[in-house]
Amino acid sequence: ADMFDGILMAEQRFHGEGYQEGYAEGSHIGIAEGRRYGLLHGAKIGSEIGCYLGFALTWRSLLQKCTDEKSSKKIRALESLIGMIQKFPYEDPTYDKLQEDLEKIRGKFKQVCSMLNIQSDFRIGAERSSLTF
Amino acid sequence: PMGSHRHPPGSSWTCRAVLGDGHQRTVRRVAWSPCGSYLASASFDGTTCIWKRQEDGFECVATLEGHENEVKSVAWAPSGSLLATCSRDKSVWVWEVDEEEEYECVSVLNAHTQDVKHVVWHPSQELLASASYDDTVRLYREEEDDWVCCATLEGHNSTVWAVAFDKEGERLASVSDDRTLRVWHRYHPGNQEGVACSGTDPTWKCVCTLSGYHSRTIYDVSWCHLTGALATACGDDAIRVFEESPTSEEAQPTFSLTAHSSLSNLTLHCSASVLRTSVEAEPSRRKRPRVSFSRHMSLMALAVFPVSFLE
Repeated sequence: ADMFDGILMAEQRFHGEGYQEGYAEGSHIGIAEGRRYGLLHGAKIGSEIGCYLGFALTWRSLLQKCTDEKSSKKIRALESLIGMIQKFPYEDPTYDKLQEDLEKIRGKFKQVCSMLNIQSDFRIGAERSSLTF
Repeated sequence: PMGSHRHPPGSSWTCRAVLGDGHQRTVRRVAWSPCGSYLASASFDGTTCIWKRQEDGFECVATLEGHENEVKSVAWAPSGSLLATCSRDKSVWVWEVDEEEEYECVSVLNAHTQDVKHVVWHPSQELLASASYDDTVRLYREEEDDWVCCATLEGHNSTVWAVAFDKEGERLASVSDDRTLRVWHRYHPGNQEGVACSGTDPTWKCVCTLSGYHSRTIYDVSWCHLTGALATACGDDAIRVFEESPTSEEAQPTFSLTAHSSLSNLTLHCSASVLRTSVEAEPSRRKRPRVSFSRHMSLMALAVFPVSFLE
């Protein structure tokens, strides 16, 4: 019975071996691809937040000398944005509130731009939008 | 006056002003300030204009910019010093106006994940509600110099088009592309019904879902603060009025949704159905303005009673 086992179970065995080989190769390629994607995505986020931080720090020092009520409101908003950016956990891509905090930073940046009367849209070229309800 | 039979409808209204230069695209919503001196207009051109009433017309005193694309709705808070706008760019903006009529953005809220269709303020508190293409209703309040999303109402299976608070503000009605009207009840921390609350924020629970009444998307809902009646605007060309009854009434058929009525279970029945009335679901391209949907629809429904009842 044993000598037939080899023939009867051949397909199953090859299937299993093939699967193991493929899985290992796939994991290897996947890790490399994931790493590249993480690098790209992380760089994009870093670049975006870095832009906001530089912007906020610059404006804070520009408004440093101003003591009027309007300027102190702007400074308060700028400090809030700076605080949010500095609190952001850059080292942890598994942070559960990552997306949420990012959106809060983007929202605060937009609010600051509105207060400073600056266009927050740094994109070049007009975006065409369709009629919706 | 509206509803009078002596004059043809619309003849006692005169067009006092045409504000044609404020926007470059569809004007999607208008809202009067609580004091009545200002009119806010939200447009697909991405801006919201604030118009001040003058003796001889209206003057644009401010243009609120910042949204990336179409502004879908604008609403004034009952205090009159706050304004909210929402847009296809998925955000809700809260604006503050001071004594010098200067508008300032106090918060940009990115809580929704899709197009925000509607914003409405609580009748007496500085609490804001928004409805979105992401199937949720969100609530926002001020917390330490900034605004935060304090509740997310999940339950609808499709776009939520509109929301309305009841007179006390302890309940909220929402209508959706999923053809249902939902009523949500606010439970405060320490409530006797045993509804769990996280921290100091109240929890909103869906206590009533009206399904099977509307055969198409429901685009708008209005909660009468005088009579408590709920009116809906639907893509199936009908307006429906719902009334809450603690007990089943003989004069009107009752479509019971739940067996009994208590704080946590409501019985709402359809008291009247006005058929063959077109409800606009798209911005109007007409030159002649239509008669607006009366906010006292419930009283009108009682006036035309009895009418044919739907299944």
